[in-house]
Amino acid sequence: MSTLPQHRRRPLSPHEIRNSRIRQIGFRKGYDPGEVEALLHRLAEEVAARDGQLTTLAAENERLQRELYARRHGQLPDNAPQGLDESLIARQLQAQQYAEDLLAAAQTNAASLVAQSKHQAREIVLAARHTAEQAVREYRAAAGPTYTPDREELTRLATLAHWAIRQFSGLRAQVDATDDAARQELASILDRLGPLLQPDGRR
Amino acid sequence: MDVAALKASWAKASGLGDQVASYFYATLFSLDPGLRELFATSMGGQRDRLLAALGHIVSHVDDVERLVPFVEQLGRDHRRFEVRPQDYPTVGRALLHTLAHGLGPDWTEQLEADWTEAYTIVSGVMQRAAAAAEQVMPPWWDAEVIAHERRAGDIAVLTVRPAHELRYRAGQSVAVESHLRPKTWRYLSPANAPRSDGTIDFHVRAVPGGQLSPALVYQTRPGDVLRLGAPIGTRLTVPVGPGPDLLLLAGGTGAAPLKAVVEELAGGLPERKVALVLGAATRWELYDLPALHQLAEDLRWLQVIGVASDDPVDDHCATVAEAALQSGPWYDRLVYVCGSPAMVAGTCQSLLEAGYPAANLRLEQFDDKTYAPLREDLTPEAALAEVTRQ
Repeated sequence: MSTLPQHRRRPLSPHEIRNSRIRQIGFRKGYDPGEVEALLHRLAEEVAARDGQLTTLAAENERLQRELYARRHGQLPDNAPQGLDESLIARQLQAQQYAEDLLAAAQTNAASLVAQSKHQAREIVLAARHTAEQAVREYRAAAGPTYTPDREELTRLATLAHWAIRQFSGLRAQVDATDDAARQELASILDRLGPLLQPDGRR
Repeated sequence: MDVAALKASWAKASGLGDQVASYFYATLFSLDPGLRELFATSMGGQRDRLLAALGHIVSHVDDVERLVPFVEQLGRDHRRFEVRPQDYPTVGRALLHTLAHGLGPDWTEQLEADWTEAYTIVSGVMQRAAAAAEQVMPPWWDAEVIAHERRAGDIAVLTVRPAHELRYRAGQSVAVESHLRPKTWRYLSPANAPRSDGTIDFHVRAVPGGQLSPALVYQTRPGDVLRLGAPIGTRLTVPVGPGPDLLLLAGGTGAAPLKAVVEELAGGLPERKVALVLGAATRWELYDLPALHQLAEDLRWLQVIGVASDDPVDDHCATVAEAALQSGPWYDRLVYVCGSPAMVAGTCQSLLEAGYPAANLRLEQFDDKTYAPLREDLTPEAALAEVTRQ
């Protein structure tokens, strides 16, 4: 989260929450779900902390009021053991409502960011497939009598892998998180496919 | 105790819905701010659970045979929420104050006496059940994460090792909590039959904007310690003796309990034919299909079908129900359905429309809106009606 330094102690203001930016990944708009969740978690923690502070302050306030009453009147109020002050309950209600509103907003945001990312991932896959089918058509046109279904499938796979590798190399930012393994996997597929795709390749 | 008056007063108070529950918790935390620590940050699901449980208790207050087992289970279940005996009177005071507030001029001394009596009885049953359970099992099982494997982007397979033996049947569920989201419990199903080393696999999909699942998928690491509740559930387990052949229908991570069922059958239960249809939106999300295909190669009575319902590069997209109906007929089979609420509802609907008898359908869902004992209390017919009504 480039605009949300991890070590800052000061709590986020609602303004900062609304305007926070999550690092985009990939060559199109997309978000690292881990960061989305980390932000959500942080919001939840801060909301909980403030909720707790409000509760403590309200209880402290009530205690002080009782003490004040006792000093003035020489005794505790009649309802003291009950401790059921309607204004205290009202403050509790308010605090919880505030917490829930913030949390709901953060969750809605997180959900829509994830939905966006999924939509974009889908578009990327569709584009890859389109590219691969085009390569297959070109292979068919060029192959003539040397055509085999196996070679067609290899062309398709190789195009997908090449295409994906190109995309992945643009995704430096999230390589740490998930893509190292995928890159290696794709590279090893390409290694194995390479010899098969030479003009004199034999299966 | 005037049962009719009790029920009428609850009907009036609960008519105010969420407000009543909010007021109750505000009162409770005013009485004892320390109790706030027993609850998750988000109280939404908590309010739903409170209203549902109280409503169930009030409506069965004169049906002791049904009420007592439910309240006992509730008491046992509350041990993992770290409720202490001295908290019960505080909750009682908050409840009475809330009812008095909600009913206004209709709150009478007689009602106060009736509610006090009812609460004393119910909280007594809960505490006695909790104390009895103390002798038998821990309030929760600490379980260390020993492996965490990300699959298909938003899905992870976690392997945990409980510190003490956790006995369960394949097809059951356990409540799970993480220190990353204190007090937020969600139900997960072990994805394996009980093993000799006691380890358990969980399949978790990060629900976008969800409260616990994203933490389990994205932030949990080996060495973390989760808390597990006592296993619950009866509908997705398999009879130990001989039984009818099975059709298992799974959507996404709903495959977990059904995979466990297959493993349990492979472990020596009387043999029967099993067809497992596993569905997801895309092929990419069929995260466990290779392992299940491998199982099917080893077990000649098992057939596994994987299907994607909305895959951009798959020309044979179908829902689980469509794939099952095409590969059938399975009219003589017991059908287990497990997946998202939408998947379960759609699948049951399709099977019923295709003429499959409702009595053959088995499903079970534990969510954060209802106390699990309340779900277990539902008859199979009621559970099915509730699902297909959605």
